[in-house]
Amino acid sequence: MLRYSIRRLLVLIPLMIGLSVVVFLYVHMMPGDPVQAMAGPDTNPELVEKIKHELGLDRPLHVQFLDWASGLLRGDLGITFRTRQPIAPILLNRIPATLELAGGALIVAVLLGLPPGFLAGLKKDTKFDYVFSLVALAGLSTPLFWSGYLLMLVLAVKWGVLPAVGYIPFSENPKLNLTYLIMPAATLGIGMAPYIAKMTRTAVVESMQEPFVDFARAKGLHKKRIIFRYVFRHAILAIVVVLGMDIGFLLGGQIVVEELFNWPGTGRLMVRAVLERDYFMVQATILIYAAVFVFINFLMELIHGGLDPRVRLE
Amino acid sequence: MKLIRRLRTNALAFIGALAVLGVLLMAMAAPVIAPHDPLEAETSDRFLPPGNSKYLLGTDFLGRDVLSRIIFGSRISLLIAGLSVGAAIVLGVTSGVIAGFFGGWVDTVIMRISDVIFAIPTLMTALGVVGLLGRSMNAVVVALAVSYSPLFARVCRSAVVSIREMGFVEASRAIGASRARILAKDIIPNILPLIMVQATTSLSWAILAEASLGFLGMSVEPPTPSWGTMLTTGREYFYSGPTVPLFAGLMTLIAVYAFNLLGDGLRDLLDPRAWEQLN
Repeated sequence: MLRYSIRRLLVLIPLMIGLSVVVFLYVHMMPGDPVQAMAGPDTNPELVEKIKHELGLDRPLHVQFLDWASGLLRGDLGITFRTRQPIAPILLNRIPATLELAGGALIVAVLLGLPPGFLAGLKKDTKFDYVFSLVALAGLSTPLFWSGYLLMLVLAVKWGVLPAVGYIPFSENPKLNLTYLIMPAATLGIGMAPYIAKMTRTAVVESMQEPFVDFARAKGLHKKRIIFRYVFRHAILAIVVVLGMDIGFLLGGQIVVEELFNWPGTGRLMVRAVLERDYFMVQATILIYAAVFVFINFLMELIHGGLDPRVRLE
Repeated sequence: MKLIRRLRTNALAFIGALAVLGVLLMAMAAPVIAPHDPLEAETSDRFLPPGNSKYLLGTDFLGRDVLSRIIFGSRISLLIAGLSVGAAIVLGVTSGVIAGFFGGWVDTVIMRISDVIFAIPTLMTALGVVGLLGRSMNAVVVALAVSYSPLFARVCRSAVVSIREMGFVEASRAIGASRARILAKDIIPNILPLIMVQATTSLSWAILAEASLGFLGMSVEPPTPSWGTMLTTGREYFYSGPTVPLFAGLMTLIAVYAFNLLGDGLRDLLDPRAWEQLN
């Protein structure tokens, strides 16, 4: 296990280095002058040059990169163009909200998606399975901003049960914090549930086809026992693995949900940055997202290796 | 049992095809079937609720007919989806076929690049591209094309790798057929069903992605009607005109579901048979 972990870690390091190079170059990939774009197309070119010099953007690229990279290692993510505030604290501030939303959504998604998916896998090719496929497909086709909007309309406006938008840190008021969390987490969770349901179904179907199921039946074990002791465990493995790899949907969906509910997370921050053309902020957020993504994948690989010895031997 | 399954998948594909056709017709016939000009603002008729005789689905904050805007919005969504998936097919199929056919380091390089792109969620890639190129239809098309190419590349590559080893390809090689001829006559015709299936599914995601980008404010600029942007502008007037975003979102759902049904049905119909035929 240790050797496998070290191997995975060794792959991680050049990946992160490559990633930082790509992200750094991102700002310079745009057609035209980035500083001109940030300052505004009508800005006096002399002023643009002055700003460039101030921010050290007229130095040779490799010098800029080394400066930026060394800053990264110190935890310095640069400053926003608009307000010249350091970015790192701004991002850090938003992480609790983002994690809360992600966590809540995952819980909802697993609770909603796992049971039907499991049943559908067991009852493959029956009416239940058929209806399940149609409903799951409909769920996948639903735009997040629509389901969220619908929830808002019904729960907040029509029935007045929950507040439409708002946020308060957990440390200040846990009960209120959770009340605000319900709708966004439910929206994102409902959006993810069809994926989880489908994956679960596939995992169960595959598990049922394994030879050990036939052996258990031949042994004369009671059907329910087979399902819960063997099939479930085997399927869970596949589900956990694929769950980690579906972080993509979570990341993308979170952006939309944060926008809709004015949830102060990192997704919203990135959208603002892109719309305001604050490339430093965009750069920093892309880097953080990419790093988190790679790291989570790394963790998933470790878990996968831990659970399935066959993977460690690759 | 098998017969029932065949009929079922046929029905799915059929319904999906009908629905897709419906959406396509709606987009093409937009100027004819839309009751009003989608850009025409009647400020005296702002925020009319749905159900009145003049404006079936009501009006938005500028007094424009919601139904007409939704009908015309399909044009933008389908156009963007079509262009981006088309570009993704060109890019993805070419690289996938090259990677699968030639193998070696070419294969490794192409697949590594496509893995990296594939790993990044579509919305993120789109945000990045829009951040660089600005808010426009071109940016969205480029962003989505880049996001979806790896899918086609992967699918084509594995297909080519399997087909490459098959008897009839070896036979062609034995009689001295050139590489180009093998590609054109043996390989490409056999990956077409896979491409078709993948294209349909990708189209559905592209429509969803464009709507989401529109919602975030990254798609076409107003006053062009797009389902996603209708939802954003509708949000600002949450209390005065809540129905606008509902219909826009519903339409998106229907369109995406239609393409998904078609894609799923096609996959069940074409895939196993394609491989059976080859074997």
